[in-house]
Amino acid sequence: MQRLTMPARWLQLLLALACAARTAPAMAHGATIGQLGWNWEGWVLASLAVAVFGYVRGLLRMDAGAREHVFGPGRYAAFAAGIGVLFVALISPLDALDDQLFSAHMLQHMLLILVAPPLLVWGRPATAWLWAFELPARRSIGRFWMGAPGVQRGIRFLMRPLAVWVLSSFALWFWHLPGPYDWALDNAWVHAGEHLCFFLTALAFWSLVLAPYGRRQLDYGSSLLFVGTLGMQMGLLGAILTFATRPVYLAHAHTTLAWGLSLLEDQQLAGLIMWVPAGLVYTGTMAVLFVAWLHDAERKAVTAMRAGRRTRALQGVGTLSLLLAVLALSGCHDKAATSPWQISGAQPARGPALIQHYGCGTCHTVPGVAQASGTVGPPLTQFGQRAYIAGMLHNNPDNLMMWLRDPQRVLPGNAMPNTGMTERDARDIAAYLYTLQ
Amino acid sequence: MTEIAISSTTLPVGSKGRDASGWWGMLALVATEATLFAYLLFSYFYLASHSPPPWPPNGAPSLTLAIPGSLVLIAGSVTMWWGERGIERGRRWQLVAGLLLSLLLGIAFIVLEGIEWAGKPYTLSSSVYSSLYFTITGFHLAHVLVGLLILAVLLLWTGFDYFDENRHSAVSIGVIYWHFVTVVWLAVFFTFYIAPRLG
Repeated sequence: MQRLTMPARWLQLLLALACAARTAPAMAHGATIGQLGWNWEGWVLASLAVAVFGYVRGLLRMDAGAREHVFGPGRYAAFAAGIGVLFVALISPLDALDDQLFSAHMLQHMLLILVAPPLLVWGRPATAWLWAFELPARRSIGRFWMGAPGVQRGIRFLMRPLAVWVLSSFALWFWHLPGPYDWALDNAWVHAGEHLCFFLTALAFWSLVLAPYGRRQLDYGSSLLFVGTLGMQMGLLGAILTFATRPVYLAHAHTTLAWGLSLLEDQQLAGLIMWVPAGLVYTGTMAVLFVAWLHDAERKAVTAMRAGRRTRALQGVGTLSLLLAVLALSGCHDKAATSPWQISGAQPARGPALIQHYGCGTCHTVPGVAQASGTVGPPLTQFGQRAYIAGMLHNNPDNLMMWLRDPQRVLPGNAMPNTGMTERDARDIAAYLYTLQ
Repeated sequence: MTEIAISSTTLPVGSKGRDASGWWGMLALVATEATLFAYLLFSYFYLASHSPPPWPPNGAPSLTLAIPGSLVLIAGSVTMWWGERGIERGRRWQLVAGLLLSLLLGIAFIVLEGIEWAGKPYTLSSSVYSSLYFTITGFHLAHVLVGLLILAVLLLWTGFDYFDENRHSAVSIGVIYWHFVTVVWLAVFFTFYIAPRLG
């Protein structure tokens, strides 16, 4: 019967929390047992404020088109929600409650590991923060980054899946041992360090899993293993806490009864929070990854089919077609000939401006477009005569427009980023590229 | 489509680079063995949370032999990594040296562990803790022995000149297992020697 009443008590507790939020405005961190207040700690508030300010400023500085392409409402909403969750975890009375209840503390940790980071990562804050600076400052940040290979290598090393996995596992087990746990409760700085450990490893974890910029460092199969093995560790820890027959975290010994929970019940509740809701997040993430994996496989099959169909068609029709094709190709070499690809309804004249707008010239050399002299990707000179796109797709309008609009879907992980090009723009750019003979 | 993989006049033995079914076989083996150890360590914490304090009953075990043991195993992983790098660049002597050093370090670990076992006042069946201790470190020791066997076979094959910079998949596959044994030891070490000091 004891266990049946536990959810009811938890509900009671949430209600109490809501009441406390209304009635107790400024109470010191964990002041009185059974009473809670908001934790208006300066540096937490300041960090959140700077994060939001930088994000909004960056968005405002971008021109509307670019903003729409890089962000879009889903990304802003995710970032806002992530900040909201951080606010609940670190400033609302939940933060004061974590001194008194182990279960509340674990709930806070789950918010810091499993809820806030994925939302924030999805919001692409790094791009927005970079844009918060003026152009010269952005340039010097870029120069600093390019001039510091050691920093780059260090970050790349820390972002390696194995490193993230090891650090996340270590943080999880280390901070839940009774010794370090009590230490964190005793010392506010250690406590902040504990939360920072969870938060930073979680940011790295979710960056790898969600791949917010579309380029997956970890393929889908490995991502599943990555998420599954970390989720399993969380589940095992939850199971240990749920099934323990004695209380392990004695720091809360004098505070849990005020909330109607014995020390052991509080610990069991904490274990269940780590086991069930957290397990749902991991399982849900794995389900999403599975679906994405299937979509990806399908896309690859479609692309291969598209690339292969023309070859087969060519083989099937026989020598005559081959001869005709050769004739047609040799015709292409004639400078006077028009492009073999006419795209109906397209306005090739819009091409140069659009190419400039999407920044293609950063990586490609494009004839007839001002400042388009990049050397990262292949030059687009004589594009109308080229046989392949990305060394893989046959060069025809359908394939070109598909490639321009979503290169990451066609060939995941390749160097060309998705620019969020509209269908009409892709059509006009393709038409312009085919005028290059 | 041409790829020059054969640079010597005699035909080499084994797959090119890591493209071998043994690679996947080893990854699968590591997955099953990692799961085994995950559940062994889980049972340690589970039984600890069910036992009346103090845990461990005789206090946290001494680090005098465990820290040198850990360092020896880590060093063995480093020497093996160095040896593998050698054969990737076609330096057979470096692989031989790496294998020999790793073998010696592995044997040193077993000796240290043996001394530690001999000094324990309890046996496998004395208490929950002693069962856990001997079962888990024993399982790990068995994995070290298998690792030594793998290294010995690799050393023999290197002696037969089976490997060069193109064909050394057996080395790469064996090395995964050897690193795995080190990583498992670090988890065992953290559980038995560090965790009680933090509890």
